[in-house]
Amino acid sequence: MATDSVFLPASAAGDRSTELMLRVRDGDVAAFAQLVELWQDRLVTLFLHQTGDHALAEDLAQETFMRVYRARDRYRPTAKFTTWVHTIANNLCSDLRQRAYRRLERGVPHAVSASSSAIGLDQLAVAASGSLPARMADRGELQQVVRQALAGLNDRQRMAVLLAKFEQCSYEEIAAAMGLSVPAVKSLLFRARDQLRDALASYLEP
Amino acid sequence: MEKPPHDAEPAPEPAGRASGPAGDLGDVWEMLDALPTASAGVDLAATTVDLVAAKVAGAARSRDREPVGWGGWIARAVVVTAALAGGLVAGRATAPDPDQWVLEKLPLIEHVGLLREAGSVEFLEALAKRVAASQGPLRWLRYGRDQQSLRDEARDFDAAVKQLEADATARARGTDVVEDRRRQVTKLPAAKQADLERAAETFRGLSSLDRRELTAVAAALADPTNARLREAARTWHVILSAMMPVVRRSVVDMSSAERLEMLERSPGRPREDFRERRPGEGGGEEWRPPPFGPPGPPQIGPPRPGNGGPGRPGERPPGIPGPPGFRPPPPAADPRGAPAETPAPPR
Repeated sequence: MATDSVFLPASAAGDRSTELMLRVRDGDVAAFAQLVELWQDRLVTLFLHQTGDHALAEDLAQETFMRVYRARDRYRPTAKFTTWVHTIANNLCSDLRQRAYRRLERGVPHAVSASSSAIGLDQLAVAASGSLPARMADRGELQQVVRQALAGLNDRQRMAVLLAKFEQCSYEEIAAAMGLSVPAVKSLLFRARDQLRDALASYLEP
Repeated sequence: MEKPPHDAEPAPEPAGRASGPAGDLGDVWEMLDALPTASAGVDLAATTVDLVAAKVAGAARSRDREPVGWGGWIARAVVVTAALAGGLVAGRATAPDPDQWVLEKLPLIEHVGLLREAGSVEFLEALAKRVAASQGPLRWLRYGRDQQSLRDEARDFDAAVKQLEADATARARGTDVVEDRRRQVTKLPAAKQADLERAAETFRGLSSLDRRELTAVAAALADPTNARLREAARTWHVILSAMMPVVRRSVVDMSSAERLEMLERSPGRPREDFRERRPGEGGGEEWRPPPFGPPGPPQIGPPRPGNGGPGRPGERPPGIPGPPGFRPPPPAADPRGAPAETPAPPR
């Protein structure tokens, strides 16, 4: 399994983040700057794969930091910082989803899609179909196919997968961040796995 | 901004691989390694810390109004200095020109008030439908300010839109507008510069999502082919201008959904306007802003009694929720002596 070397291990980053957050709570803006440095790539990655739009991902990451800062007084070290940030990130994604739904209900085309990564079914079908031979795809192609497969998940499944994969969260942590029970998270991930398997069938070893 | 996936070296399996999410995702877990990690833009950290520094400085300023002891002053000075230093260290390293951001966003900053009023493209689209159907909000023009000032507001709106359009055209041509703006701002009188600084602070204080929304609104208004949306925004601007400042502020602060809900709650036209006019009463015609385009001759006649004149002082336009604690004045008595609206008798 590959590890994303740009990220600190989640546990180490968590401890450091908690320490920084306590300083932020006490009014240390320099600590906030360090916290941003520590988390910005992680959050942008999470939002990028959730929305498929890099600029929007950056905006959402910034909004997450602003919410962290605004809520600094309420932070208690008993709450794990990573879970706290993941909860904020998940809430932001939910807000975005609701905005997108409202736009759809009103028939207003949105300037920036809330889920612009949501690839059309036709593309997904190509990815999953036998028209792509089961062969070793080059990296770019594989990346594209996995992205499309991920985009085919619903938002909650995708968030659960991203938290598991990129943030190495446990079931309990994902459940806490998404406000779900552990069995619900398991169910989300099982369904996500089945759907990803279908979409990536041509690329998976039999 | 994306980096290639880092899968050159196999890393130890995370704890709980067999029974945790990794184990349950099975073979697709490995496939997800193909997804790249992303890097934040060079200025994300800088702008974020700048935003926080601005908030800290703003909060410190508002607290300064209260009498504080020397200890408090020192503590606040330390906080502000630390905030500014943090902002400078993190921000200036990547942003060589501190005015660059303001100059780039100048059209948005200059018209931040107008754009916040417009709210969102979504709202303007919905409003445009109502305006096209001559429904609802136009009746609010009957209240509030005098007609001449409303015409002035419409003219101001047109000027602002022209400016946004000119800016969009210059951008499309690839003109380097930043240097021009820098020169223009330098030549502005001190009072105007102070206004601009305040507007920049307001704009900076908005969330990134709100800023994105306002940018979309500005782009929509700058589009000369989008006359329908412009017309709606213009009408809305005039309607807001006719409101009492306190009501106007509360409406501007509403989200798009709340505004739409407010419009949906309000009837197409007030009951008063539908009833048959009595002899001597006003015709009930509503003032409509002239259509968007080059200025032409005035399209409204002299004010007539009962025709779009200003409302009674303190009168709240119907359909608009007042601020918390706001109580509308009691209904005016009918000229014939009966109350304007007689409550149903208790059974």
